[in-house]
Formats: sequence, structure tokens, C-alpha cells
Amino acid sequence: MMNARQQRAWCHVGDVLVPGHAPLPKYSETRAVELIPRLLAAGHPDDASAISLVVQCLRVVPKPLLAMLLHLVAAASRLRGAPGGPFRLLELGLRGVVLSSYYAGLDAADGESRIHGHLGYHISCHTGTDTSA
Amino acid sequence: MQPSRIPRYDYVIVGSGAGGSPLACYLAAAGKRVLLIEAGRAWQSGQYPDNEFDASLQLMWNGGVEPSSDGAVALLRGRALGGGTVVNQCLLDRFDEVALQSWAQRSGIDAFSLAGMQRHYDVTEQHLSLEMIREQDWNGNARLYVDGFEQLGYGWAPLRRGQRACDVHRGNDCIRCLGGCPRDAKQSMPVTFLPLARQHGIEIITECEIDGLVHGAQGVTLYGRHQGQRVQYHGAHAVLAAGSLGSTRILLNSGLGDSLPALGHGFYCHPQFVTFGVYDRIIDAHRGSFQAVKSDDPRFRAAGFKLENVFVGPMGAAYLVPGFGRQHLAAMAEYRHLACIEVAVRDVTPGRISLQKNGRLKVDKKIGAEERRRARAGLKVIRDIYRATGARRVIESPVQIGLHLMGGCAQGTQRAHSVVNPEFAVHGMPRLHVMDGSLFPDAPGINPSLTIMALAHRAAEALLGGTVAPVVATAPRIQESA
Repeated sequence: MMNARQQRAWCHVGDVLVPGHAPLPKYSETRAVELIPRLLAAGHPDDASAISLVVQCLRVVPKPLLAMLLHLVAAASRLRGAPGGPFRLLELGLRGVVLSSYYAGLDAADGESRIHGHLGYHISCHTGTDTSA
Repeated sequence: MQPSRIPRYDYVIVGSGAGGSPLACYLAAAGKRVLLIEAGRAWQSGQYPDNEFDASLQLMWNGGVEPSSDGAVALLRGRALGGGTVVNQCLLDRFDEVALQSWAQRSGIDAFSLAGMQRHYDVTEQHLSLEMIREQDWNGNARLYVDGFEQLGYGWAPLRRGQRACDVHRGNDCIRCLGGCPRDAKQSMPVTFLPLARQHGIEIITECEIDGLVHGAQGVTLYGRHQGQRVQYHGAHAVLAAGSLGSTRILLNSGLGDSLPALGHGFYCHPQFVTFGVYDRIIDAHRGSFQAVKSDDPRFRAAGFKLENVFVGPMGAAYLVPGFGRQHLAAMAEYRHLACIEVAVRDVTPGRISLQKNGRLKVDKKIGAEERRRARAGLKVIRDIYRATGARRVIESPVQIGLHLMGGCAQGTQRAHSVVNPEFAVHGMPRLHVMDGSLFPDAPGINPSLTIMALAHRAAEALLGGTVAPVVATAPRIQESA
């Protein structure tokens, strides 16, 4: 479980990565942040602690500055080999968590994802005994 | 725990994927008492997660992605009864002469040849339903791929897939089976070898992670954790079939790194360079049949790459599309207009699997100059295909994916360069065996599943000391009324 402060920190970072672009909502307007504890729990505890600490630190960085920082991280992550390593891992931690929770399709209580709806993502698979469409 | 109370098996097999399940099946059918241990949980086909998020979290190690030490490659591996066969695309090609000749040279094992492997492939395939997707069932992504190949004069072919009656004409979207096939159509281990193995009496323990082992004169003791409790199992023989990372980790964790100089070396993963083409028209690459066709061009094979006609759900696409912010959202909003082709590189720069001081697995895997050269050659062809078929934009992902995890416990005749001998025993440990993709001496450049299954048949013959026939289902028992 995350406390309110941790949720706000993730939403702060999330809104920079996913600021909304009609008709897609911004990160904090969805329930995506509620998925993050499950996502972090599935990985290694050391990684979860490290990324949670980074996000808490980024919480106090103004969004325009944070956007610049993240662009720099993205640029540095393209450095080959060890020099780019920490930046790639940071990108994976931040982008991976935010984008996975946002595009999971679990943003609606009724199961009809707004985000998947806007993307036009609907899939079906009928089991052997099910003949419904 | 009193040693005398530990059940003793003829074989304890760790890992239930393409190596462990067929081997368990052959050994059990030969009358051996077999215990199969799996770290993931068992699923009924109707229970597989119905969304990408839960599929990643519940069916994959580390919640979906394990990065290499410098983050250059994102490694994916299945964690469920059936291993990677539950979450892969079940593309079941045999290896060609190029791949097997290279293996023979590296390993010193002459049986790695088309003739030497034929019987093992033949027997394996008798347990599987193999199909090709009919042209009328291709989706937009496949049509575009073939159109591009034909315009540019490149060779393509239908993919041979392990599946039975996917019924895409009824509106089934096979992208769903990346999170486990709810129809039991995909020829994963829970659909093929495991039911046969159960009929022949194997015992299965799931949600049990093996941490290490002790090899003795009378047998092998494995220790680990089962649902939070410390456990140990004893077998006259043990077989590690936990995959490239899993089997290597167990051997390293057992302190065998010093006595096995090649342990953890020679890791390969066919790094995949993913691209998206953005079209004005709707492609709907996520709908219908999935991955119907493949590149089949000798020029690509000689150049060390192949082109795969794949796609991913929104979560995966978001991760692969570079950048963030409104530009990223705009790209994602065109999800239905995206086509996808990736370069799968036959990698030649070996990686290394080791343990950190805290016992955590570490995978060093560089994308070397040769891999980059091969990727560039493939990406050029892809850009030409997209251009020829009317894409208005091409997106190249900066993320490289590794789905085929191979090596780490290479098979070979020389202890200096291999971990496992030609009879599938770890060098110097006649009761400890390895049977999974970690045996691969190098990267074949071909999807590995079928060959892992074929090697399992070869391993069964080595362990049982004779020819092993296909396993047939036992006659159903007549239920007695109470």
C-alpha cells in the first residue's frame, strides 16, 4: 500500500510523463496510481525501494524542470554501454511503472477502460464452449 | 527435517517449460518416479489473466521485465506451470544446418546435425499439433508485411505454429495468448506434455523455488522454499530445467562456479529491435491471428538476422514507443494505425550470468558492434518495407528485448568450455543434469522452443539408455459408481 504522500509523488511524476492529450486523460485523472504497489511488489524489493526514493525526491521538483530532467535522462540513456546504464535503468523504473499502470486498461471500476477505449483496443477470445460474440 | 522422511524420487526435475515437461513425460512413461518442481503457479486455461497488466505480473519473473546489468536489454521469461511455453507464441521451426553445424563445432558433439537431430524432432512433433495460418485469416499486420516483402523481392513463408483450432474466423484475437491461451489451442506444456506426464504418474509441486543443491554419491538433494517454507527434495538424479537464468542461478548458488569454469558464460538472447510503422489507414495489428508469417530469405540468414511480424498490447507498445509527454500520447492514440516489424538478431557477443554479493542474479549482456551492424541491416529493410507500403512515419524503439534466453550451462565435450557433457550430466557430477535452453552453445538465430523439446527427447534417451518412443495417452479409466 502507498500513503497519500507517495501517491501524490507518483502522480507528480506521472503527470509529466503522461500530461494528457485529448481525448487521453492525464495520469492523475485516472486510477493508474493505485496499481503501482502491485507493480512494485512484483519486482525485486531493492528496485522498489530505490525507485520509490527517487520518486519521493522528484516530488519537490517543479514540473517544467522535471520534464527537462527526464529529457536529459532519456538522452543519456542512449549512451552505449556502462555510461548509459544508470539512465536506462532509471528510465525503465520511471517510464516503465508510470506507462504500465496508465495503459494497463484497469482505469475503470466497471472494467470498461477509458484509455483502451480511446486507443480502440478491444480484444476477445471465445473459449470452446462459449459461442457468444 | 529428518533425512529418512524425505521422499526419494528417481528424478527431481526443476522447471516445467519446454525442457522439463517433455523430459518428465518420457521418464515417467518409462516407469520412473518423477517429481516436477515449478516456481510459478498452475493455471487452468480459463483462469489465465484477461489483461496485459496481470499477465505480466503473474506469469513473468520480476513482474514482466528483467534488465541486463547496464539496461541495454530487457529480458522476459515465463513463470508458470509450463514455463515460457505459456507466454510465448509457440513458433516451432526446426533448426537448420547453419545452426546445428555451429553447435557441433562449438560443442564437439557430432550429433548436432540435421540427421542426428531428425529423430528427436520427429518424436517431439508427434506430441504437438502444428498448423500454419491460412491466408484468409491473416490480419492487417501480416498482409502489410507480405506486401512489402513481395514488392521488394524478399523471401517470406508462413510460420509453423504449435496450435489447434484457434478459430480466428470466430473473432478470436490471438494476442491474448501472450498471457496464456484460454482456449487450450496453443500447444503449451499444460496442453501437451504435462497431461501425458500426469497420466504416467508424475508428481508436481508448484510455487516452489529451488535455491541450491548438493550432489552426492547416492543422489542429489535440492533445497528451496515452497510457499514461504523451507523445503528439500531428494532424487537419485536431479535435472535442472529452469531456463538459462534459472538453472545457472541454482548452480552458481550451490557454489559450483569455481569447479565449472564455463558456468554462466555464453549467454545469448536474440536481441530484438522493435519498430512501428504509422499508417493513415487502420491496421489493427492486435486483432485476429497473430504472427502468421516470417522472413525466409537466405540473404537475411547470411546477414545474421530475421524479421518478425509481431505486435504488443498497449502496455508493451507504450514501453517500446520512445519518449514521453504529449508526443508519446499522440503516438499511442494512433495505436490502431500501427504496424510492427522487429529485427531479431542472431547475437554473437556472449553475455555472462553471475551472482551479485547479495545473491541477486546479474546478467551482463552487451549489444556489440556486430549485433549493431546486423540490426542496422535489418532496420534498413524494415524502413524500405514501411516506405513501400505507405507508412507516413517510422518509430524505432530504443529498447532491445530478449525473449529467447539461451546459454550459461553450455553442452560440450570439454570442461573448459562447457558445463554439461554430451550425456546431459554436469561435468564431474553424474547424477546432476541440465535440460533447457541454457545448454545452447551459441545463438541459433531460430526460435528455440521446438529444439529444446527435441533435446529433451535426446536427454531422455541418454538417461534411460535406449530408444524412447512417443508417449501415448493411457486409456481413460472407467469410473466406478459408488
